[in-house]
Amino acid sequence: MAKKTIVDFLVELDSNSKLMDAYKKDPVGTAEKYGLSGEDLQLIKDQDWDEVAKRFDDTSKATRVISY
Amino acid sequence: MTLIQGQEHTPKGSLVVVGTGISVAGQMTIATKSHIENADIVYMGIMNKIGEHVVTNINPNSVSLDDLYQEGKSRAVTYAQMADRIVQSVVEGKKVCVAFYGHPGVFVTPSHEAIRRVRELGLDAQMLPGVSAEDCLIADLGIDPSRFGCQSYEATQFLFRDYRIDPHMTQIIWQIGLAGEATLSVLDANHSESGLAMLADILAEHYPEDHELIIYEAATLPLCEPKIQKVLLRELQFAKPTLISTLVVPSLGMPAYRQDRLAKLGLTEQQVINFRSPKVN
Repeated sequence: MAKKTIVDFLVELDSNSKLMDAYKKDPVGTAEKYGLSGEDLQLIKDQDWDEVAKRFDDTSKATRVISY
Repeated sequence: MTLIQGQEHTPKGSLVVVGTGISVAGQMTIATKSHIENADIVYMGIMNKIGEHVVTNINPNSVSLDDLYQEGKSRAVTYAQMADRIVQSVVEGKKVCVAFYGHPGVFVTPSHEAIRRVRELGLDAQMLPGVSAEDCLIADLGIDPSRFGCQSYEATQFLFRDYRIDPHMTQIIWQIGLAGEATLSVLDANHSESGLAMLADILAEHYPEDHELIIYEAATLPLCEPKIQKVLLRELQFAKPTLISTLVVPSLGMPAYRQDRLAKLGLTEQQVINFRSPKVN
């Protein structure tokens, strides 16, 4: 079975309300049970969401109005 | 190309433009997912790597349009090139799906342009709605745009043009992190100070300086909460918005009734109030 990553976890959290409910009650335990480990699990432990967002978001690609 | 009864047959290309929503996966509609799955090629304009991962998992033949962005290059050029790339694939006979984050028709120039050009060629093109940042804002801030009416506009466009604010309506001002940025070529929010100061001056003509405003950012990741920062109007020019910050200016309240219009309709103000708030015995 392929190793579960933070990306898999975020996708699943965004579309599985049962997992989200469990995560809200016990973030680290739920992430561990899901299969996260190492650096990915540390991200959940640190709760540094700005860092997580920085890793995946690229707001410089946000679309703009050009009709002014 | 396929061979039908001895003749070469080039399949007719088509285009469907879809939105993947603001969050990484959960706001994608069932129809959107199906169009992504069944396309010959999917072009992606998604500012989130996880969102791209989701689309690529649904259809491995997915290609990002991100290579067209460059520091110093005008967005007008980038968007024209995006539309060219999309239309070219349709002309080649492919069933093309283009997935933009959010709603594909809100703040997305190349989607409208590509659809217009494909239809001009006599080929099929359609857009499916998606969950936009405005939809997230309404849900996160509990603002119903119909409550007071709503004016919604992009900050730079508003500064440059002779628009009018109606302070009785909720104001939603998009992309304040680029307020006054005219070159369309910067990819950061470090150029907004003078634009924000001008915006604050215009708002001060209509609202008291202690009017409480909201700087809002929708959450893109399920672990994150939306960013909701309250600032007073007099503090606005010192705010540090990002490229995805939106300013919400709450209404000053409903305007007075227009007695002349009510009278023409055979109504009085009191009647309207009674109809609006019926007594329950």
